[in-house]
Amino acid sequence: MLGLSGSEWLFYGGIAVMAAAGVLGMLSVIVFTLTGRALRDRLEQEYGKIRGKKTCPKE
Amino acid sequence: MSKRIAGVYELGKEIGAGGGGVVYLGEHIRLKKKIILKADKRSLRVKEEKLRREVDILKNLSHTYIPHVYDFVPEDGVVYTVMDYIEGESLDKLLARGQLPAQPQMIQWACQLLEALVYLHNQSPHGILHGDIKPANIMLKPNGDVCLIDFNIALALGEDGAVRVGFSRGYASPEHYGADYISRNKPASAGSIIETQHKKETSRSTVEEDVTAVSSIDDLVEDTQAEECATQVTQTEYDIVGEVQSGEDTAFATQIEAMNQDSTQYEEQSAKVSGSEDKTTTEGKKGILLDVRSDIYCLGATLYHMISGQRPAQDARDVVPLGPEVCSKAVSLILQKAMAIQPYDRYQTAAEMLEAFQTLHAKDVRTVRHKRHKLLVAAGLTGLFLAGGGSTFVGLKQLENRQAALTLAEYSANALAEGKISEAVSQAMQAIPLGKSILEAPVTAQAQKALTDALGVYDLAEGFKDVDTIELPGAPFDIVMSPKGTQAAVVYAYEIAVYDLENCQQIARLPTQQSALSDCVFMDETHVVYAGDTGITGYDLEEGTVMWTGETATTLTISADKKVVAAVDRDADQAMIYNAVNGEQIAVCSFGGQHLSVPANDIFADPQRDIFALNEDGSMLAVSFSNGGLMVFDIKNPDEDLIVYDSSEYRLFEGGFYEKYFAFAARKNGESLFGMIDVEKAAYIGGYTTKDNLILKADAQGIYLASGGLLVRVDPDTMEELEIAYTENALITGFSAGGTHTLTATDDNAFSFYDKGANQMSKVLCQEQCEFVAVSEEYAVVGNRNKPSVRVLKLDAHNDAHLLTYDARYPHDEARISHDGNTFMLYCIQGFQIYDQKGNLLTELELPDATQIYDQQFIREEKDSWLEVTWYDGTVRCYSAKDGTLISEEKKEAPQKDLYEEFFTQKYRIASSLHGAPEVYDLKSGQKVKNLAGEDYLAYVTQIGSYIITEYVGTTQERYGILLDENLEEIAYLPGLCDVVDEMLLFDFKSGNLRKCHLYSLQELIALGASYNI
Repeated sequence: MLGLSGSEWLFYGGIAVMAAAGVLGMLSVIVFTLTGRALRDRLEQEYGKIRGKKTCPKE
Repeated sequence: MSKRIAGVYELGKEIGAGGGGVVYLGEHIRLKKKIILKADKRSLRVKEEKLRREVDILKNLSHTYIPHVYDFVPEDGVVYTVMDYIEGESLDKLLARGQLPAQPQMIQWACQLLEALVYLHNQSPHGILHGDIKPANIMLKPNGDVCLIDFNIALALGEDGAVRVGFSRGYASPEHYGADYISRNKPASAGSIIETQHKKETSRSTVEEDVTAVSSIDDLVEDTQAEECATQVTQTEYDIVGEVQSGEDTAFATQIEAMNQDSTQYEEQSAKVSGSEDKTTTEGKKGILLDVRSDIYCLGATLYHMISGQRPAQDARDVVPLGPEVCSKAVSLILQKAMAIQPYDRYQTAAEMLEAFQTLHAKDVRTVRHKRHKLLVAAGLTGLFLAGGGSTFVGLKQLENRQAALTLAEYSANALAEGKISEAVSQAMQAIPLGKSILEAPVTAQAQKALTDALGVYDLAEGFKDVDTIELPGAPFDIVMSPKGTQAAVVYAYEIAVYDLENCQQIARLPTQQSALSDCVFMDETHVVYAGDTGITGYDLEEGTVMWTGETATTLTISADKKVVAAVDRDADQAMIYNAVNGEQIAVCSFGGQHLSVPANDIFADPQRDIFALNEDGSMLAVSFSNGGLMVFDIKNPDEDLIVYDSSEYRLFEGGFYEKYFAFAARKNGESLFGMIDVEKAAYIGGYTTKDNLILKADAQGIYLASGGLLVRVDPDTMEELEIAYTENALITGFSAGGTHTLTATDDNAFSFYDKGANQMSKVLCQEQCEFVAVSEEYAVVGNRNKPSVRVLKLDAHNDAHLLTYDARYPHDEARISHDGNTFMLYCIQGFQIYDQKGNLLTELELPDATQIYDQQFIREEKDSWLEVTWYDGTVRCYSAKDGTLISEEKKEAPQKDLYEEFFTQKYRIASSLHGAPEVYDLKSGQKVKNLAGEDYLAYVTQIGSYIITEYVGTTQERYGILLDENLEEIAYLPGLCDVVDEMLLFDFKSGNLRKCHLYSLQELIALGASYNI
C-alpha cells in the first residue's frame, strides 16, 4: 500500500505520529489552559482568590 | 485640657467602658498617631506586676491581623494599655444586621484569621492561645481585612497547654466546658483525651503532670482574672458595653466596645459555674487542657455563624452540618472538622486548617479531575510521541541498514563481475540481516539476488564458472598453464608465482630476471623451467627445490615433448639449448649477430613481438629478429638452417611449430601476413596477407588463427580453416585453444568460452580488456595488464543436475516434462520430439502447415499431459506427451492475430504483449502495480508459494526466467529456464541437456552462503 516498505512505514509513520502527538499536545495545552482558566474562574467565584500559604507580613 | 499619660500619650475622650476597664481614644503626641488607651479596671485590684506580665505577652505581638500593643503605662494608680487603633466594626454587628458575608469573603477572612492564629500559636516559647474567638472579637477593617482583637483572656501556653478559664457559648469548644462535657460527648477519660493531645505535644508525660501544669496556669489566670470576673455569668455574652461614642468614632467605638465586652464568660476551674461546670470543678483536679485546637473550634464556630447566620449550638453534638444551600461541601467539611467534638478529630494546628482553606482550589474535585485529565492526556501524548519516536528510530535504522544492504549487494555484484566469488558471497551474506534485532531491515530482494547470483545456484549451464580471484603483488606480464591445466604460473614484476588451480593456493614463488621478458614454461605438472634471477632454472614444484640452473636468460621456449628448452637473454645473439630434465647444455644456436626485438623499456610489459619456438622434439628453433628477419635453425645441423626472411619490414612476429609445419604471422604498415612452411621440405606451402590484425598460435595442438571476430583452426595439409569461435561486433584480441574448449578475449572487454562445436557457452563482461587468457580441460585463467589479479574459472558440467541429454542439433523453442515425469517433449512450430528418461528418442513429428500455427501450449494435468497446437484458422490439435499421438482435433473460432496474453497469480493479473514490458495489475483493485523489467516477450508465469516465476523469450530466442518475490522484486535470474513443475525448475541448454534444480529458499541460500567460505 502506497508503495512503502515496512521500514518506510515505521519511519514516516513514526514521524507522523510524533507530529500528531505534538499537534495534539499543543491543542491540549490550549484546551486545558482555557478550561483551566474557566475552572479557576468558577473556583474563584465559589471560593474567592485564595492567597498562598505564606503568612502575610505586617502591613 | 486633655490629660497626658507618660508624657507621650494624650488621653482623649472616653469612648467606652465595661468590665475590662475604660477605653479612651488617644494620640501619640510625637507620632501624631491615633491610639487606644485602655484603663484596666483590674489595676485597682491586681498587682501591677501581674498586669505587666499580661501586657508583656501581648505587646510583642506584631501581625497584620492582630492589633499591636505598644505600651503599658501605670499612671496615677491606673494602668493604661496602649494599643493600635483599629478602624472598622466587629463582625457581630454585621451578623446583627443580617449581613452575611459571601462564601469567598468568608474564606478570605478565615484565611486571615488563621494566619493570625498561626502567628499566635507559634509564639515562643509555647505559643499564645486567643481563647475567645467569636464575631465580636473580629474587627472588619475598611479595606475588607479582618483583625483579631481582645486578648484579654489570651493565655501564654505552657509546655502542657493552658487551661481555659472562660468561654462564649456557641463558640467555645467542648473542652472549654470541662472534662465531663467531653466525657459525655464521648466516653473517654480525660486521661485519654490528654493522651491524644499528647500526640501533638511531645513533652507531656503523665496525667498528673498535666494536672499540675494546669494548676500552674490556673494560678496565672486566677491572678489576672479572678478579680475581674467576679460576676457569675451563664450567658455567652453579657452586656457590659460602655458608652459608645457617636459620630466619627463609631467604628472606633465598636472596637472599644468589643474590647470592653467582657461579655465573655471568664470562668476559672474553680469558678462558680453552674451545672456541669460545677461538677467539673467539684471533681477538682481533673482539669482539661486547652490548646490550639480549642482556638480552631472557636474559629470554626465563628465561621459557621458567619456563613450560615446561625449561631452554633452550645453543645457540639447539636451542631448541624451546613448543607449545600449554605456553603460548598468542601467548606462545610472544613468547618465540620474544625468543630469536631474531640480535639484530635479537628485540625491539629491552625496551619493545617489554613492549608485546608488554601487548598480549596487545588483539592476541589473539579480541579483534581482537571489535573487528572491533564495528566492522562499528557501521559498519553507523551507515550504517543515516544512511540512515534521509537518507530521513527527503528524505521530510520532499518532504512540505513537497508541502504547498507543495497550497497553491499551492489559490491557483491561487482565482485562477481570480477570473478571474486568468495568476496561476492561474503558481501551478499553481509547484506542479508541476521534477524536478531528489530533495527535490522527485512531482507532486500537485491541482497537475495546478490547471494543467489554469487552462489550461482540457478546457473546450470555447462561452462566455466568463477572460482576465485587471485590477488598478485603486481600486474601480470604473462600467464602460463601446465600441460594438464591443473596449475598456472603467473609472471609479474621480477617474480613468477605458481598456483594450484584446484584451491587457488600458491605453490611456489620464483624470482626472475629484472625484465618483463622473463618467461616460464612447464615441463609437466610438477616441474618448471624459468628465467631465474641467477640464470635459467629448472625447478621441482613438489620438492620445492632447484633442479638445475644455466646461463642468464629471459626468453624461453620448450619443445612439445617437454624435453628440450631453448633460452636467450634479452639482447644476446645466441640461444642456449638445454636438456630440460637435467639442465645439460645441448647446443648453442648462434644468431649471427642478430638478436630479438628488445623494447626500450622491458620493465613494465612483455610485448611478445618475436617468434622464439622449438618444434616437437626440440630439433628446430624458429626465431624472428629485430631487423624483421625470420629463421628456422636446425639445432643438430646448423647447415640446414632455414632463412625465411633475412631481414624484412615485418614486425610483431607470431608463430610456432605444428608437426612438420611452421606457421607464422607478421605485420607491417597496416598489413598482416600469414605463412606456412613445411620445414621438412623447407618449402613455403601457403599463406596470405590481409589488412586485419592476425593473431596466430601454433603448437602441438594445432595452428589457430584469429582475424577480426573469427578464430579458426588451420589444417596445414589442406589449408582449410575450421571455425572454432566467432564473436559478433567484437574483435578477438587474444585466445587460448587446443583443448575441449576455446577461450577468447575480445575488445569489448569480454571473454567468451566456446565448446568444440564453436558454440559460445558463455560470455563474461569485464571492466577492462583481458590481455591474458588461458584455458585447459578443467580450468581457465584470465587477467589483464593493469590489474594485479587473475580470475580463475572452473568448468562446471552440473552432472548432479542432469536430467536428459538429447540431440543438440534438433531445433526447438521449448522443452517440457510430462505429468508423470517419464517423457520430455521438445517442440517448436515445426514439430516436436519426445524422449524418455534415458534419453531415447521415442517420437519425432513434423507439424503440418507450420507457418500457420498461431500458438502452442503444453498442457499438464494431474493424469495426463499434451501439446495443444492452435492454427490461425481455428484448428486445434492435441498431441500426447507420452508418445506424440494425436489425441484430438477440433475446429474452433479463429484466434486473433495479436500475441496479447494474460497471466494470473493469486494477487495479480499480468498482461503481456509482443512489444513492451509486461504490465502487472492488482486483481482486487484493478490498479496497475508496476511494469515488469525487460522488453523480452513474457511467455509464461508460474506462482510457487509466494514466489512468481516469469519465463521470457529473448530476441535471439534464448529463454530465461526471472524469479520474483511477493513484491514483484527480482530475486534471481534463471538462465535457460524451460519448465516449472511444482518446486522443480527445468533448464534447457543448447548443448543438448536438460537440467533441473529445486527452488531455493532464503534459508537454504543463507546456509549455502555460510558454508561457502568454510
